[in-house]
Amino acid sequence: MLDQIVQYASYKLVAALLFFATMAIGNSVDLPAVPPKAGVVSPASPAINEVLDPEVAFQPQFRLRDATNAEIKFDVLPGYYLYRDRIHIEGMVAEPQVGGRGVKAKQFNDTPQTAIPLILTTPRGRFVEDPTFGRVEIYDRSIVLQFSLAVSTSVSSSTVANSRSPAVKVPNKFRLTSQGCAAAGVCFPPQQHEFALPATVSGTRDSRTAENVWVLPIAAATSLGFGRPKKPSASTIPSK
Amino acid sequence: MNSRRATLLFASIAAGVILLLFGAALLVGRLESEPSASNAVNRGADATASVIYATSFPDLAGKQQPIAQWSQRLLIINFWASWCAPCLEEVPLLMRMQQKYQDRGLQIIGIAADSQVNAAKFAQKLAINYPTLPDEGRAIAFSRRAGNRLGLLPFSVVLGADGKIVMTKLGVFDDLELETLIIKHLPKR
Repeated sequence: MLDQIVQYASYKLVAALLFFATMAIGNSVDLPAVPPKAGVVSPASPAINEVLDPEVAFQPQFRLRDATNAEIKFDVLPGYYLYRDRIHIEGMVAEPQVGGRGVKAKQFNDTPQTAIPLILTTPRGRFVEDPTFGRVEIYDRSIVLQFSLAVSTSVSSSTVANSRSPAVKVPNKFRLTSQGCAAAGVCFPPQQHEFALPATVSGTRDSRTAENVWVLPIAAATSLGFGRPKKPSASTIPSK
Repeated sequence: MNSRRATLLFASIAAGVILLLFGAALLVGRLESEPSASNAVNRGADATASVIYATSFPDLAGKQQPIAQWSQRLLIINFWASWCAPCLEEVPLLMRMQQKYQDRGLQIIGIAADSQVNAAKFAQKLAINYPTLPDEGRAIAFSRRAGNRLGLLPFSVVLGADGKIVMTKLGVFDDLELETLIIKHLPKR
């Protein structure tokens, strides 16, 4: 009888210890990650630690349609979005203008420049309800924006009116500002991209070859104080 | 009790003890690991912690505030900006935690990648109850030094009262995740 009790007790003891050990092991396994709070869009979003560099997520390209009309194309990858009202474009004039509408710009390099706002035509985006900002318009797909280079010359007409004058200053490049987020629940700082403007605009050469060719930026930065200069491109991409 | 049964009993107890020790070891390992390890971009870097404590940021009045003044506390440095919707969503949770645990050694600070004017406007609008330190030019770059490779927001660095980085977090804290983290790392009294 005593033997049976001892044997029974030993089985119970082992069972109890096994149960405890199993619980401890189970407790040690990582719990499922808490899903990130939803952003304003939730298609096939990358995990928060797999969010791509903004240069990849929102690759902007520029092309000249003709002497005065140009386009910007953003290739927005799935799971990312740009805010429509946070896309701006400025023509960069080589020297500060006295009494002009431009404001002295933060510099990508040491050349003094003045930024002149250009009028950008943006397509309709998708309206979403953002818990913080309310109803906002976003681009969660690739888009093409249009702008007129002629605006920049009229804006800076005090110095550009006479294009034959050696004092003429026309934008030789422009700067694109955009800001967006990943639907996984993180946002990119405002991004700035600088594009070289084909010299056809200033009339110094007739470069038809520059038209209808998508071109990558010559420089990229955030507007928050640090830059990532790019090498001058070998970056032209054949028109699609 | 014959010897065979005694051997069986001894073997059973020995096996149980081994399993118990194995389970306990795993449990200890679990407790010593950090929560949300998948979100830890960079941690345990004493050099990074030293850089953080040696830095100052301006407050909303423009006065430089050394991070070192909070070195004896559990410090959560939250990088945010007014243009970052997830950041603004996270603020109420941080405020609740500050209110609930400030007397037990928690200090939250918000470093804003924003202008002083914008940061002040949102700090007032949200009634933020912890220091707001705006530095539009340095905030993102500084967060990169702490492991925020792409400069994304929100981003948080948690430093223990021992001066070591407990964890970094990219994205918004979950309520339970943050409170569990705080309770675990509050300074011992």
